[in-house]
Amino acid sequence: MGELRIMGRPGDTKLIWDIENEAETENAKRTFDDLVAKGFTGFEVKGRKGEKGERMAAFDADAGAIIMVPRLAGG
Amino acid sequence: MPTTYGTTGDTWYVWCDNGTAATATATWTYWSSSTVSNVSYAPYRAPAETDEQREARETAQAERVAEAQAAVARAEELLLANLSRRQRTEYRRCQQFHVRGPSGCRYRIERKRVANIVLLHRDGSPSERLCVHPIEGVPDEDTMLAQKLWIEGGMENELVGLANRRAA
Repeated sequence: MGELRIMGRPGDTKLIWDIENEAETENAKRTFDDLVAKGFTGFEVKGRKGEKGERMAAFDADAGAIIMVPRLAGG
Repeated sequence: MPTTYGTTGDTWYVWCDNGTAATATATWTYWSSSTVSNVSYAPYRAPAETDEQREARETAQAERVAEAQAAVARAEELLLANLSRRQRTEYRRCQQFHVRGPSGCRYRIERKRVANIVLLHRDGSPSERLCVHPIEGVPDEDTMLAQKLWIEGGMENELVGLANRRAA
């Protein structure tokens, strides 16, 4: 199972996919690509121990958890 | 002789009986030369709110508060799940935590949206304050996690390059 956590104004929304399920995986990839096109950056998070996330240049269906961060700008 | 023309008394008398607004010089002369101290202005009063309107307003307000609280709870759960044990302890104790970028620089991330990153000297004293955050108005806890991911996850230089910086 993969998990996409998308940051947003109402907190994050979650999208889960089963790697065995082609339609779900394709939907997750399409969502990832759409968000990247909007300026989001994806970070793969390994485990649940606060290990460093790694920037993902492209969607990887095998990634356990991905956090999508909106575009950053100087304040 | 008119009896009453509202609250302006004589001015209205001249206005109504001595000509039209477009042509009567006398009207304007009178208006300009007379005082208008006898004109009273009633203060604006908003229409009274009905019980139904008040109930709808209070319900909408309560919903907005509940949504904001839920957003913060979700964001904090995501943040805590992605902090190291040490960072989590720091956050719970004082609403901030430290991160180290690939460059070796250390930063303190504080729980707020604006100018909440402090670049630290080697001895831990503050050097610069950085202001950079998601363009979307996400909860502060999401802002903190986004900054941690950028710094630790290989985008430290990009984050520092985007930030507005000032001496701490």
